[in-house]
Amino acid sequence: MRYILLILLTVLSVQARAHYPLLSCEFTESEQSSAEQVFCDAGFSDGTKAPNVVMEVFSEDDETLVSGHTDDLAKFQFERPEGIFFIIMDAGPGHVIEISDEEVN
Amino acid sequence: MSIAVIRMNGSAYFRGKNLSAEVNTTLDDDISPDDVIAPVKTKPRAKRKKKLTAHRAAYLVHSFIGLKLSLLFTIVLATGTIAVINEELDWLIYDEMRVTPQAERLNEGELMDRLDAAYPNAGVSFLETANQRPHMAAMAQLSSAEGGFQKVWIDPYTGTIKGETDFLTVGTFFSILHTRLYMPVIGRALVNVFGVLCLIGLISGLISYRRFWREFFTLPRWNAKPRIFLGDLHKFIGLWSLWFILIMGVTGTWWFYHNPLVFYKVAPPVLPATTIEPQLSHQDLDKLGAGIPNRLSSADIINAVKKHDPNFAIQLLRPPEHNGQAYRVMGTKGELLTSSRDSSYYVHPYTGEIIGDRLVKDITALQRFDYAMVPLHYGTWGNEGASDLAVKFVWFIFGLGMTVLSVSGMIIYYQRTRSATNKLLPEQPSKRFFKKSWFVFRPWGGPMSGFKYLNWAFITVACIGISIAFTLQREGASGSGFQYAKQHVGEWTISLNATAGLLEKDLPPIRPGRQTNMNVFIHGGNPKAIKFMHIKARKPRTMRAPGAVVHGQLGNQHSNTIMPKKIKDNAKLWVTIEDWHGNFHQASWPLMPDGEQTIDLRINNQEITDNKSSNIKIKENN
Repeated sequence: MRYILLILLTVLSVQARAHYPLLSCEFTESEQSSAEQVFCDAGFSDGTKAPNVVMEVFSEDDETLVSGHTDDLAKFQFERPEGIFFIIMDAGPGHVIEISDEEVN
Repeated sequence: MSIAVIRMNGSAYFRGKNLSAEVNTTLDDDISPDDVIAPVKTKPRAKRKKKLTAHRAAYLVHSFIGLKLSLLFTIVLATGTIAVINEELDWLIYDEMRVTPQAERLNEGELMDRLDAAYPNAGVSFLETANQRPHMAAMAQLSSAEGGFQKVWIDPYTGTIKGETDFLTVGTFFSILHTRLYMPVIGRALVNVFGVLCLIGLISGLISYRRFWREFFTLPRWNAKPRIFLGDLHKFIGLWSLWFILIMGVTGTWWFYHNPLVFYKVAPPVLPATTIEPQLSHQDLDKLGAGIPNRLSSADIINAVKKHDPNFAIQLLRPPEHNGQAYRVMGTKGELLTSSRDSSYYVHPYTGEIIGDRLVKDITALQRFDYAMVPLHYGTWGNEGASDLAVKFVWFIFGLGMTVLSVSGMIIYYQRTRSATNKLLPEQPSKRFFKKSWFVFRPWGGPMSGFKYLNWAFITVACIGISIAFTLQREGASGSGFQYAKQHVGEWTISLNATAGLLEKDLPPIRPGRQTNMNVFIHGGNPKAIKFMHIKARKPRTMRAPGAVVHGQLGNQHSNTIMPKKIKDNAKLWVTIEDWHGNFHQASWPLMPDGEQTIDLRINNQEITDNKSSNIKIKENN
C-alpha cells in the first residue's frame, strides 16, 4: 500500500522535492578475504544515487571502526566488525541516516 | 453462410466464408481487410484454408493489438488529445487564470514573496511563473498537513492574487488520467505499453495494407455503406498520421523501456544514474554562525540568478523544504526540443550564492534524446506564442485522428460481425436477450475476447483512483491515523499525526519495517529558530543521525519515517530539534496508542490531552 501513497503523492504533489536517504547493506563473502564483508548501497528514496558521500562505522562505544566515502557507483564495502556496530551515511545536512548491524541483511 | 458486399459501382465483392456458431471468434481471427475489398469472382467460393502470408500475419497482429485493449486504448488516446491543450482548456474555463498583459512583469520571486505573505501557513510549495504565457496568471500550489490541495493564481504584472482553484482542474484531471490512469504502481507503465502498441500497430498496419504508398490520395467512399466508409476512413487517417503515430510510438516505447522494464530491473538502464541535486554542506551551514540567520527573500534569490545568467528564462521556483536544501530555480535557455524547465540553478538560500546547476548544455547526447521525448510527445516544443498554439493545434488534430482510428477499428469489427451474429440469435425475444447478453459477457468472441475483463478491471481501478484523488484533494488524511498530543520540545509546542498514507485512513499507520507519514504541527515557538527537526521510532543513539528530517513548507511539514522491523511494546517515538545555537531538544511519545498521549483516531475521537512525557534538553559539547 505504500506504493499507492507514493503514486498519489507523485500525482498530486507534482513538484514535491521530498526524498530521504536510504542505506541498504548486506553481508557478503569476499573473494579477496576470508572475512565476511558488509556491502552497502547508498541512495535516496527518489531513486537517485549517493556517490562520494561520507560513510562511517561505529562500535557500540561510539568508537570509529571504519570511515571512507562511497565510490562513484554509490557503493561502500568494509570488513564486518566484531560485535554490534552502526553504519552512518552522511550525504549532507538533513540527509544523514544510521542503521545498526541488525538492519543489515 | 456467406456474406456478399455490393459496392456502389456495381462490382460484386465476396467474402466467401462459412460462419460457425462461434462467429465472433472466426471473424476476428480469419478475415482480413483484403478479403473485404478485393474483387473476386461473382461465384461464391467454398471454404478454403488461407495461407499465412506476411500481409495476413501483419493484419492479424494489427487487429489483435488494436482490439484487445481497445477500451483502454481509446481512453489513453482521447485523454492524451485533451492533455495537449490542457493549459488552454483551463484558461478558457477558469477566470482565475486569465490576466491582461502589461508592459512589465514583476520579479518572479516577488510573486512568491507575496503569496508567502498572503498564505503564511498554507505550505506554498512552488510557483510556476507562466513567463511564456502572456495571458496566463502565475500559479502556486497550496497544501496543508491535514490534507487538501489547491492552486492559487497571481497576476504576474500587478501581483494581485486572482483566486484559488481546485488542484484537479479540468486540464490537470485529463493530463493525469492520460499519464497514469489514476492507477497505483502500474498506471504509468500501463500507459507506456500503449506506446509500444502504437509502434507495432503502425508497422503491422503498413505491412497489411498492400501498396499503401499509392493510397495517400484515395479519399474515403463517403456514400458507401458505413462499414466500407469507416474502413476507408481508418486507412486514410492512418496513412496521413504515419509520422505522428511514429512519434507517439517511439516516445511511448522509450518510456516503456524505462518503466516498467528498467524500473523493475528487467532491462539494463541506458541513462546515467541520477545523483542527489546540489545542496548545502555542513560547512555552508557552519559559516552562518550561531543565531537565527536571515533567509533571503525569493525576490533576492531570483535577482541572484538573473545576475548570474541574464539569458535564463525562469519558469519554476522551488524553495528549500529544509535547511539543508538549496533554493532551486528551474527554467530554460531556449534549447530546441527541451521542456521549459529542464535546466536548474541551485541557490544558497541565506547568501544568494549559486552553489550548483543542472543545465541542458552539460548533458550527454542520450540524455538530450530523453529530454526531447516530452516536448515531442505532448507537442510543447513550440514553446510560446503563435508557434506554440500552431504545434499544439496540429498535435490535437492528429491526436483526435488516432482516437478515431481506435474507435473506427472497433466499430468496423462490430459492423462486420453484426449480421452474422444476429443470424445466430434465437427469434424468441427472451431467449434472444439472454443469448445477446451471453455474447457480451462470455470470455471469448467479440473484439476483446477474454481481454474484455482486463479492460473493465483496469477501468474500474482507474475509477476508484479518480474517486480517491478527489477525496485526497478535498480532505487529505485529516482525522486518520495516530495523533501524538501536543507537548513541549524545548521552546516549541509540537503535535504529530501519523498516517500510513494520505489515502490509507483505515490502515494501521505504524507497521513494522514500513514507512509512515509523520505530519508535524508547530503550535508554539518560533519555527525559524529550528535548524532541523528529526523523528525516529527509537531513541537516537547519536545526535548526528537523530532520525528522518522534517521537511516541507510551514503549514505542511512532515517526515517519512521508517519503522523498525520489530516494534517493542514500550517503543517510543522521538522528536529531536536542533536549534541554530547547536542545542538539541528532545521529547517522546508512546509509539503505539495509549489513549492519553497517543490516540488512535480511527477508533475514537478522544479529546487530545496535553502530554506529560519526557522533555529533555541536550547540549552537545561540540
